[in-house]
Amino acid sequence: MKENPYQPVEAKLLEVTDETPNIKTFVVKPLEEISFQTGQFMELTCPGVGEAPFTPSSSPSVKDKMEFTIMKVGGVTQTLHELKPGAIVGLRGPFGKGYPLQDFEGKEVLIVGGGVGLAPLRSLLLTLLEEKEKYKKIMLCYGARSPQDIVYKGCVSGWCEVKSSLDVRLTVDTDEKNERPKGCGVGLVTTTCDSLGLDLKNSVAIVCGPPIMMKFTTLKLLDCGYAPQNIYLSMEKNMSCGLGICGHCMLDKYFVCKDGPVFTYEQLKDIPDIWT
Amino acid sequence: MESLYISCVNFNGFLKSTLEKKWEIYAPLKVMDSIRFEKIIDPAAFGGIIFDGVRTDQSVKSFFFHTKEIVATIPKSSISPVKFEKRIIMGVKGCDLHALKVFDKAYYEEGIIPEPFYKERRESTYVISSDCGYSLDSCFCTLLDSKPYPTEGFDLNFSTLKDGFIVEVGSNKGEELIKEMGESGAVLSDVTPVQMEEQKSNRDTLTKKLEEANREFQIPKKFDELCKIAFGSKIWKELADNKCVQCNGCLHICPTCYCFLLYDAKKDNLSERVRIWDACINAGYARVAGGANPRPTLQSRLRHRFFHKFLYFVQNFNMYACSGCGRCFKVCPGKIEIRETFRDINKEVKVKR
Repeated sequence: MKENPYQPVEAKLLEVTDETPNIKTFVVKPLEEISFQTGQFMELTCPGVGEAPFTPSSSPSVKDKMEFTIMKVGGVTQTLHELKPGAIVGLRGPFGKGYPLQDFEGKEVLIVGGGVGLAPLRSLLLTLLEEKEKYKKIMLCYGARSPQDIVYKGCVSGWCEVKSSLDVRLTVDTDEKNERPKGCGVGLVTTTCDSLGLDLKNSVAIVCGPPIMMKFTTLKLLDCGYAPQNIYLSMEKNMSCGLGICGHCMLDKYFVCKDGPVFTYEQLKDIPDIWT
Repeated sequence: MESLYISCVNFNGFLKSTLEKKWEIYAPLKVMDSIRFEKIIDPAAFGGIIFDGVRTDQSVKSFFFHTKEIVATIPKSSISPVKFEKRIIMGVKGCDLHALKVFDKAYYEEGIIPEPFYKERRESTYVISSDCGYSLDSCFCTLLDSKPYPTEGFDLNFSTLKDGFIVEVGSNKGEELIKEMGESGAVLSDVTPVQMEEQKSNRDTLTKKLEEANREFQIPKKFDELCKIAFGSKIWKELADNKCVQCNGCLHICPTCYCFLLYDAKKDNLSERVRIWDACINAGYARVAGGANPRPTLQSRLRHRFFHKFLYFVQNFNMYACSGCGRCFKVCPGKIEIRETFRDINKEVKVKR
């Protein structure tokens, strides 16, 4: 057998950064080089525990390292959160189709993220900024539950500074202690999509976040006037094998691991119950 | 397709030569009141091989897709499927060939890569299929436009005649087997018109009988078309509330159910990645970390099982992922019947109009 698709490549954990009380960013160095496209996902293994799908949050142009921003929500992520630099993890992939960057060229790109859903979008954003002249405009709308739940706190303020090419809107659902960063509003992320000032006929929107946020953001964007084929959604299902076989990530006829994880709303709009 | 005739004596002579060459041979034998694939290790068993019976109780799935196996380790070690010199599975029925075609589509031909474990086993296996000699009450291949005799997907197909077989050659691997037969001294002759007539008459009689038996389940709409309008049917809830006990029997016995679960387990200093058969009716099947579940109810999972077989697979691969073998009905403690389910959906749709 030439290649075993179930076999992870070993990777060394170099660095762990606390983003929020339950989200950390892990910098790993694969022992064999892995190249990927932004938006594609990897299966990350905790040896002896299991593996789970994550989309890298770093740019594919960084060849020797990959970053993953991971919320502690299940068995594998719980173990990951306990790991210290030097630990060995496994990586399989990349799997699926990434963001179709060529379709974004010459357009105004709106990126809408919710919570830890900013992870894959950060990879996209970094990739877009590397060749920002290719895109007419880039705008980021990001919502988190509270100021403490904002990820990439350092980067976000940096992104705000490259104002000429990047327009950033931040919001938090609630801010009881009045701790939100400068320029950050209070309200659901959909509120940041009001009066976008974008040329919607020549714009694409890329959305990633928890299902409820994806649902209402999509409805909002449709309301704004985006065509279903110009709304790109990252569907996070229970991707396991990555080969389009094992069946766990099926969404109607699609295997999210193979046909996604990025879909246009046009592809999904007639499927009942897509937001659950 | 090339057809030849071989007598039982000549064929048994060939089988004996293959055993001497250490080929692995599996064939349907009667064990208690069950017909099942058994490994043939002694020429004394040749007489017991059932070519003209009906589908075996268990399908050929597990020959290619093991119930449980280690597929990788961390750190990496040499996990590789066992290499077979040559393996012949005989007496495979048309329904199981259909199921193998389903696997071929998903695992081999149209996946993002050929699944290596399946590929290696499939390529090293020679499939000798055979016409059904009779049918069971649960058989419904004819409802799915199949026949109780193989028409494609075999290396060789055997139609049983009074004292021998008509052998149809269906692939290059089949040609190889014919050559091996010749080398073993077996005599193959042209098929006579009388033998052709006997084959045709046997096939027609059984096909007619099956069609007759399934007449009460004939519905005007194709199953995939029916699925498209059955998402909101009350049938799924009825199956969930009154019939399904979530035993997984149907999914394990099903020749086309190809889903699996990967899990990691510690063994000594290794982390072993294990692949086992999995079932989409299990509650946690599609659940994601954090607990969100796209199909939280049994009725939604049962519907998914039907839709995967009769709608999604058709949309993706242009064929049903159901062979009409009826095994699922045979094992189901709740007596969930595919034919009946579609008949009920059809009735419901009619009433609604």
